[in-house]
Order: sequence, then structure tokens, then C-alpha cells
Amino acid sequence: MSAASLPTLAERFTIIGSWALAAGIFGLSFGAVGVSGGASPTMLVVMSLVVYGPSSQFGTLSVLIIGGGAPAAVASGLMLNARLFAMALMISSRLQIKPMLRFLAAHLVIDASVLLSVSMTDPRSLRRMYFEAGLGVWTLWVFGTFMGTLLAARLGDMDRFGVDVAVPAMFLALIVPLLTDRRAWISAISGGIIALALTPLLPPGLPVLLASSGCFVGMCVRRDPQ
Amino acid sequence: MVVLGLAVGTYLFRLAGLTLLAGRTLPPTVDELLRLLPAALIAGLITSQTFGDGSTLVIDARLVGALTAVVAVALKAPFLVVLLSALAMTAASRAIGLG
Repeated sequence: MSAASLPTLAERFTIIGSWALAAGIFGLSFGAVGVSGGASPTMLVVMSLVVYGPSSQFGTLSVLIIGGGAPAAVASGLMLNARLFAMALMISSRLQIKPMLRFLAAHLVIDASVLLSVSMTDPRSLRRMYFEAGLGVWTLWVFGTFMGTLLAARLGDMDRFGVDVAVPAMFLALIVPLLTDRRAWISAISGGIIALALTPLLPPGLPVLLASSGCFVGMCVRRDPQ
Repeated sequence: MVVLGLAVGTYLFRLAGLTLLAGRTLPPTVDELLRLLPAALIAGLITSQTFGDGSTLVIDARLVGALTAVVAVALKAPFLVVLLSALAMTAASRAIGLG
């Protein structure tokens, strides 16, 4: 995403389509896992519509399935979604839209919409990329969930398709354009280590949120000579 | 109730982040931190989703897929190729009995 201007329609279709496809596969597995775990199909689809946070929905679902109770399920889901605050913060000063539209745009804060649009230089391109990616991924996520609930009995264990590596793989592709200088590298390495170091100590979701503090470590090193 | 609680809470996170800095010019230090934040956050997502299993760290078939993705990215493969080759390698590793 080094290109700062709006990619062509075909390019946008490919890049957003890849994210949407991944969300669709993910949704398929969410719906299937949910139904096999005893959740109602309607509840799962509504959840995908109104929560729109794949990892948090998986987290909440797994707490429910192991019998952890509603408060624990909501708490773990919210912790997994706390990083969306950081994501939204990243785009907030750049996304120039009417205040009313902002309430709508808020629901579309997701990795794809923020990370694909944040590098756009002019406000119109940024806005366009943001909404297209946000809506595209949302649509496939909900549709995938719906299909997953229908196909649950046939799909069985989704992990045998390697679905659980989809997130790291997507993020690996996405982090490379960000690693433009020493500070960015140090931030990334610190973030990666912080998340791993805290995983055994804190509930799921918090280590990743705290990984974002790696940017403070990055700030401590000298800027690359210009 | 669970769905409602999660939906409202999640929306508030998003809205808070989105409105907090809206339409303001930021001091250079904050601007620089916001530039570095995605790299740190995404790296945390990568490591925790590759090695994390609940509260423990494990090495399993996901690592094979993730390394495949690294190679694919280094070769400047298109996004979809990165994704699908990683999925395929993890699936294949599992099929031959690696975690």
C-alpha cells in the first residue's frame, strides 16, 4: 500500500476482495463452530451483523461453549475488541466526513478499512477506500456466517483447512509496507515480543492491545538519517 | 443479552476512537506515535495468533503457514496468493500430522 493515490477499480476489487474473501472463510468457520457448539443460527448471524468483530466473536463464542457464562463471555469479547479503539484512533484525524456520517462510519472500523485507507493522501480517496473496504468485508463476514450455520454439519473441523493461519498471513502482508524505517521496525519487533510475553499472564485480547505500546519503544530510537 | 452487550461495547470503542481526534491537527510527537502504532499492534497480532493458544504459547502447523506467508511476501506475491499459500501449507502440515 505504498501507493498514496486511489488504486483503480480493478485493483481495489482485488485487494478488498481478498480481505472480504478471508472474512467470508472466517465467517463460514464462525457459523459452523457456533452451530456445532449449540448456538442458534439466528443469534450467530445477528451477532455478525451488529458486532462485526471476528476475533472477539470467536472469543465470546468459545467462552459460551465452555460454559463460562454471559458476563465472562462479553468481557472477553470486549477485551478482544479494545484494539479497535486504537484502530479508530489511527484514522480519526484523517477521515474527513460529516458528523452524522461518523456514527455510521464508526461501525465500519475494522483492520481492513483502516489499514487499507490510512495511506491515502487525499481525503476523498481515503473516504472511498474506507467505506468500500468496511462494507465489503462486513457483507462477506455476515454472508459467511450465514452459510456456515447452514453448512455446519457438512464442514466439520475448519482448522484442517488451515483457517487459523489466515489472520497472521494477512497481517504479514500488511505490515511490510509499514516497515519503512528503523523506528517502525523497532516498534514492530517490540510489539511482537510484548504480545508473546504477556500471553501467559493476561486474559486473551489484552496482550495484543498492550502490544501497541511498542510504538513508545520505537520512539526511543534515533530517526534514520535523512 | 450477550450479543447486545458485545455490540454496544464494541461500537463505543469504535466511536470513541473515531471522534477523539477528529478534525484536529496533532503535535508532531503524537503524529509520529500514531504512525508507529500500527506496526506495533499488527506485529502483536501476528505473533499472538501464530503462537498463542489461549493462555499458552505453542509451535504448531500455523508456524509453517506463517513462514510461507513471509516467503510469499518477500517474493512480492499478490495478497490473495499470500493468503491461500499460507492456508494450504498449514492445512498440508496438519494433514501429515503436525499439530
